This record gives sequence, structure tokens and C-alpha cells, in this order.
Amino acid sequence: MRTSSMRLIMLLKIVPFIIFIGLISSGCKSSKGITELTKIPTGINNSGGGNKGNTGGGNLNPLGPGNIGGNGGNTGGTDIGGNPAEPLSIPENYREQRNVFASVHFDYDSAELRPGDMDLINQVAQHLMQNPAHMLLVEGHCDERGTEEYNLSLGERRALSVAEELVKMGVTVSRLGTQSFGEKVPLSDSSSKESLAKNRRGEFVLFMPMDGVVEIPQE
Amino acid sequence: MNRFRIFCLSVFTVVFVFKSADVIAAEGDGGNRLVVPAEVQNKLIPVALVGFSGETSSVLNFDLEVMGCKIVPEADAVFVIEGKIEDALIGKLSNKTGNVEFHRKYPGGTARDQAHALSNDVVKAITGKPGIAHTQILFKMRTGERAEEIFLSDYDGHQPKALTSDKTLVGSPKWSPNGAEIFYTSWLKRGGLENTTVVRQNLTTGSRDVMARYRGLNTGGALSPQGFLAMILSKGGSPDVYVAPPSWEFMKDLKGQNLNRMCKTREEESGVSWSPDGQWLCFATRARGKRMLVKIAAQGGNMIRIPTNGVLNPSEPSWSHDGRWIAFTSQMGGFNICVVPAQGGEAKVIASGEGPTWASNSRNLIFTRRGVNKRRLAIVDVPTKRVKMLPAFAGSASQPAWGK
Repeated sequence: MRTSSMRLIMLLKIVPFIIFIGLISSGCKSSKGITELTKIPTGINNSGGGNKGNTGGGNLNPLGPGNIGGNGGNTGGTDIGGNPAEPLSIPENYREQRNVFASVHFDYDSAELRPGDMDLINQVAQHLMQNPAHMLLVEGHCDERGTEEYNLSLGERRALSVAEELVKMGVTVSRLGTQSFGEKVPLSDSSSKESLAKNRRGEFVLFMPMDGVVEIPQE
Repeated sequence: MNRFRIFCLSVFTVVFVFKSADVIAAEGDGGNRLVVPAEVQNKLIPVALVGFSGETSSVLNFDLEVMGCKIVPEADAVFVIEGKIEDALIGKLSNKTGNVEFHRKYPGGTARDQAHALSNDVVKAITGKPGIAHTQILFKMRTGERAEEIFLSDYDGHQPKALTSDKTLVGSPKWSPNGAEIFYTSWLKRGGLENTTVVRQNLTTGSRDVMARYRGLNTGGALSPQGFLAMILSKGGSPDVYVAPPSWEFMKDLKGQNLNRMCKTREEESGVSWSPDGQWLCFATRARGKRMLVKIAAQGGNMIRIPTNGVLNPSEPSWSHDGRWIAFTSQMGGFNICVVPAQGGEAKVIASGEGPTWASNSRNLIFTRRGVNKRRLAIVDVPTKRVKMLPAFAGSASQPAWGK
């Protein structure tokens, strides 16, 4: 047992403070020391973070907060063995950057990395090591030539192959997340060979603190 | 509840008696079954509809064709279903020589409900097995750009109702064995991430619970009759099958220490399905480069291969309610719905399509067929291989799950 339930409860209590402190410090850096100009969210673990707004609600009772404690960026370990259990947690003042890096691609029905993509993965690893506040989500995608259930698992396997390589190159596993979208988000709907090849991909989604968000006082 | 009683009966049938027809005849309405002539057994049974019109007629047509009949002129029919609507639907079933099996009135419900009830009675009388015309299905439908919802409808696709309104990606809806809850996978955005989440939703109250939201993949959500929840999670570094004990709560086990990891492979396991007695868990995996179906005992153990001779690349298994069959999708160029004995063996190709799940009669399968612009649901009658397409929905529909 690596963690007793006591320790887990402790962790859950402590982590929000760590995030809070982390946010203040990153806020300091990014807004050149003027902390009050940076909006520091109080409800870090509330739903609907990120820059796309809350998609919850509707005709159902809202789910409990899905983001349950723990923050990948602050556990700080060098646990290369496995995935941290909790989802990667993106602080609210972070923005999502989708097109910083090109995508890696895969052969049909395969999660093996292509030798030609190693330079790109290395570039991503270098970026993460030089920017310790940044976090990365690797998205795994498939073409439509597989059943939906199978493709969902294959997409995850692809994302994990990329993440494993990043860890081998020295990135701390706790800053990495993987997520499969199966065949749900194709870049092209056509069934041409080229389109299918384009859709079999791993996308890098970078999360970084927003620079200098300024609160404008209400008149 | 009637449905629940039927469910219990069918489970008992599975566990204790394999001659289900005898059991149902003994339990059935009077036992005075009509005899299906030998020349049409396991073929489409020719029946005639006399006196029906409009919606009643179209419902009866669809129901009876799904459940192994074909509609023919009276002169060619083995059985005649005669009826009319007075203040309610009245139906009479007789055989060629004019012997009346039943003559009933169906008050209450809508015109569709009444017609479904008559279809069920006809099928029960002819085949000795309960009809499935009153059942419901779950499926997912695309409703917008990067938006899908879980839907519930009658088995024939009528009266669709959205069970979610998250405007997010979603998939893999499944029923709990008692039909009171459903499980599905949602890409709900929380904390800035669309992390897959296994959600449980109560059909009566609409209340929802997060059953798993670990890092990476969280999907599968299949509940056994004993209350064990099987899921595909990648928290251990690769998609693997995990089983949560009854009453397990994710929010109290955020590291997943009380989950039973059923396998530990680098391969991408997918598509979990319990045997109806809850003793076995079937799923798709790969060994030495070859994709295959395997099963594992509910308490854990070795993966046992379920051979699917004659076809390749099986996935999406669905174990029949009578325990005898496993339906799955094979992929060889296109997708085919296949059926294999539950212990494995020669696989039979039933229809083109993917993602099959069994009806409670262990005879019909509902599945997905890809069209030019959208995916549609279809039903096949396994012994006769006849396919009936469901009416097209507004959006692309797939991953149907057949309820009891």
C-alpha cells in the first residue's frame, strides 16, 4: 500500500492549498509581480474550468464535481511506473493551446510510434522540461475502420504510447494526461486513404498559465 | 412488476433448465399452443393481417416481421390475425383451419401500445416465447458539433427521449440487469478536461453518479446481476478490465485500491459483457497480434479464449440472456454481426453491421449500420437473418442497448 486512506484524506485537504499557492506564484510570475491584477479563482475544483465554459447542467441533477482533488502538476513525484489515478487537473487560469505542436500519426490498427515522429516527441519533451508550469494532454484518435468500442481503447493505447515516450525522455508523468476520443473527432469525414491516415493521430494539447489577465474594476 | 417477473423467469430458465420452451409453455397462458408446421420452422412464419389500418397496421407489420413472421395474403398464411378498432383494439388469432387461439380486447395505452400488446400475444401463441414489442432501447445520437446525447426509445425507435443534455461526447450506454439504472461513458468537461467518465443514471429520478473518472480512459460500465461493475480503465498505464465490488463508491476510492484488476496487458481491452448468471466476464483483447474474444471468471483468473472460427477481429461481445450465445462484431474489410456459441466454436455471420446487443428473447439483435451520412439502428432476427431498419433519427445513431 502506497497510500493509506488517512494519507489520502490528508492529501485531499492539503492539495487545494498547494494549488492555491501554486496559482499565486504562477500569477506573480506571469503578471510581473502584480498579484491583484491576476484573477485567482476561488473555486478551483468547480466544474467548467478551461476556456470553453461550463457544459454541465441541463435537465438532470448536476454531477458532483468531477474534478476530485489532487493536482497533477503539484504532486511533483518522479513516478514513472504508472498513471497517477486522478485526472490531470487544469487550474482555471490556464488556457488550452492546441496547435503548438504538430500531431504524431499511426499505422492502421497500431499504437506503435513511428521513428519519424521521435523528433517531434522529443521537441514536446524539451518544451515541457523547459516550462515546468505547463501541462500536456495527449489525445488519441482513430480512423473509422474499427468498431466504436475497440477504437476507444485503441485511441487510449495510442495516447499512452506517446505519453510513455515523453516519460522516457524525462517528463514527469504527473504533468501528463491521456485521453482517447476513438473515432469521434475525425479531422476529415472522407474515407480516402489520405483522410484515414490523417485521422489516426495523437494530438498534443498544451495547458499554460494565462499571462497578465487584468481585472477591470466595475464602474 | 410483470417485466421483472419475466426477467426472473428467464434467469431461472438459463440457470436451471435449458428447455426454455417447455418452461414457458408450463407457465404460459393455458398451454394450448398453436403448432407451427414443420416446413416453416426456423423460417419466416407466414401470417396474414386482416382488417387493420393506419398506425395499428404498421406497428403490427414491424413487430411481427421483427419476431420471425412474414406478412402474406390470407390465402398463403399459416396464421390469420384479424382485428378492428372499436373503442379499443380487438384482435383475433386463428390458424388456417379456423381454430381460434385467442380473441381479445386491448383497452388502455396508446394505439401503438395496444398494437404492441397484440403482437406480443401473437408471438407468444405461435412460438411459445414472450414477445419483445414492449421493450425499450438505449442508444447514443449525435446532436451537434462535438455533441452527443443518450436516448431512450421504444424498441422500434419510436418515442425517442433524451436522457442527457450535456452537449458533450458520450457513448456506450448499458442497462443495469434490473433495468432501473443505466451506465454510460461521458466526456464531460470538468476542471478544464474532457476526461472520460463512467456515469450511472437512475431512470426514475434522473440522479447521476460518477462511477469512475481516473486519469485516462474510463469506459465499459457493465453491471452484473450480483452488482459487480466491470469497467475498462487505463489508470494502470494501459486499458485493462477492472471490476468494482457491489456498493463500491468511486468517491471513496479515488486511487481505485478496492478495484479488482482482471487483467494486466499492454493490449487494448474493450467491450465488456457479463454472462447472464454473472459468473463470467467476456471482452475483446489481443494476444500475439491476434484480436480475440476471451472470458474471465467473475472472481478473477486466467483469460480463456472464446474461439470465433471462420471470422477475424472480433469485438463488442454481447452475451445472450439465455446464456447460450455471444454476439459480436467481426471486422474483415467491413463489419459483420456474428453469433457464436457461448463456449466458442464456429461463428455464423448474421448481417452486415456492428455493435450488437441481444433482446430479452435471445433471438433478436439490435445493431448499428453505417450509411452515407449517418449511422442507423437495425434489428435482425437471428434464425432467419432478416434485417429491419429502424426509422432514421435526426442525427447519427449508434451503440444501441436492448432492455428487457
